[in-house]
Amino acid sequence: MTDPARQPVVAGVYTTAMSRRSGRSGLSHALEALKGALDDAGMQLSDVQGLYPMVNQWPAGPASSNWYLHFSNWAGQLGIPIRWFTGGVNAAATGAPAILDAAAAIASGNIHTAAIVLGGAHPTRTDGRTAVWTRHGHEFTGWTGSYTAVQFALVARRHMLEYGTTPAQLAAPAAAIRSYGHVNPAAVMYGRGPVDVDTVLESRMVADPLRLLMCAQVNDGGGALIVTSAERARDLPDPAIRILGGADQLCYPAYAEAPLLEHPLGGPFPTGWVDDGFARAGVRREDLDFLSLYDGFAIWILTQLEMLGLCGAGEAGPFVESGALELDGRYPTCTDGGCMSFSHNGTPSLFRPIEAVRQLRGEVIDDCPDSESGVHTYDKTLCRRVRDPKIGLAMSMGPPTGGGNFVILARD
Amino acid sequence: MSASPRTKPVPEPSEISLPFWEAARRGELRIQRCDDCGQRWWIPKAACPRCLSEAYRWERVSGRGTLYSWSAVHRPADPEAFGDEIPYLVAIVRLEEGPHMLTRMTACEPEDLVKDMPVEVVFEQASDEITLYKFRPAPGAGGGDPA
Ligand SMILES: [Zn+2]
Repeated sequence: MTDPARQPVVAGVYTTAMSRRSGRSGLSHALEALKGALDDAGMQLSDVQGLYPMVNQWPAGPASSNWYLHFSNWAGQLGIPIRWFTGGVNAAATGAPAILDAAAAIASGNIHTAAIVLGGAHPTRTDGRTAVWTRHGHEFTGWTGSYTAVQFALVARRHMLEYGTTPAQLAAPAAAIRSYGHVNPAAVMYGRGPVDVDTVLESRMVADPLRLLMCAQVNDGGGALIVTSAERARDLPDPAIRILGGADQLCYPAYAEAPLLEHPLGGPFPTGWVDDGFARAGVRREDLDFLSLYDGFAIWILTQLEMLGLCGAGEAGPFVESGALELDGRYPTCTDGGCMSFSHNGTPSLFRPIEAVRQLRGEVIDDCPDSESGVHTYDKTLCRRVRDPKIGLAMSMGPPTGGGNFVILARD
Repeated sequence: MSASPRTKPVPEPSEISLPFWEAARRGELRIQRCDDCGQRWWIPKAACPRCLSEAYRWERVSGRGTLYSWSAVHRPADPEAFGDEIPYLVAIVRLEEGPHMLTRMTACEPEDLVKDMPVEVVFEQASDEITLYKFRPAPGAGGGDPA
């Protein structure tokens, strides 16, 4: 059992303005976010002992072209010693896995406080090419003309073939999530809806069966989250959010290998990791009040629901079509608008847990007239506030199939 | 199809994968197979993913398989490289011998494709060094006319 004083908690969160042409670097967004999250936690930079950073580029010096220099440059830039620097080497690991790693380091007493910080900035492309992180030069992928959207289209097609999933069922999560973003003033796509299933199905085809509105958009922005111990968070102004547990699994190198609905060596993908994560968190699936899944592509929402065991294998299509992800549904999902509408800055893994923290704290700004004072209408055309949530699950970027990562957060 | 090797990405063989590309140039599809446990796998790896043995051979496979999944791509990541082929068919083929390959379907239209239909490999030279491995509907597969 964890020493109660060392119970890991989220003490602060911050997101920068999300925009299409910020004129700022990813690092600039990250630094703003780090300072903002420390302010939110009532802490100083000197409190930070562990760091999980990710920016899309380091703008100056030899580190600009060399990821490991870029990685180790953080201590120099922040002017503080970093004592725990074990994760964050890729965009996936700066979300739920970073929170779990920081929580373990704090629970074991190695450190008392860690910051997870990321920022991304991407000049709007004029050459017709997709965002740089979508394109993979892998020896056995690049020549086929496949890229991220195509890999997920291949998953979606097989899901349709095996389970009878329909295009309207693929569109349902995109419509639900984009409609949350429509009423989130902080979303880059704020006011650009509401979006229904027909709107999604009328958008242009990208990689059949995935259409444009089933894919995340691209923008600039940053975010940060502070993990500390319950003891250090005791005197902070905002209620600390407890990190109950979670899990992480990988089965093959994403984008280098074909994305299958079964293990590449045969048989189904192992699912025990999810049960283990819920068990460690001491939470049953029916305890979850909302979800903050990773919505890079609409099919991913279906496969995550199945992987987490929130519906049966192959049953996610009818489940999402029933309205389960909407504000009055069983699992309101990606209530900030997700990667599709709130922000995909190239390294958006942390935004999913940040939204979970904000729902648990009750810090949800939307089109309800008094949302700044915490008063909500629960009218879907204005509101994105989950009713009195106590436990939420957040996922971050992971492989297309066979695994992923999640963290379960709770308020007292 | 007038593929221009100058603008399309051409694979660069690694120390491990070189035998695969040499075989493809001869019109043979070969994948690794473990000498110790018999496991076959794709993509190339330094050791067997089942028993970790580093003793393996590049075994010739039939080139026959079934269509596991596909996508007609209308929006390529890089229009300069693939814009001339829109829509092109990226696919996953399950080889008769077990492993799945990410590939392209050729000599067919998207509407010809059905779940698990039989397909066969077809080789296409991309450069002096590299011959690509695509798949097409097998003769008599129905749906398409592979001509
Ligand atoms: Zn073996």
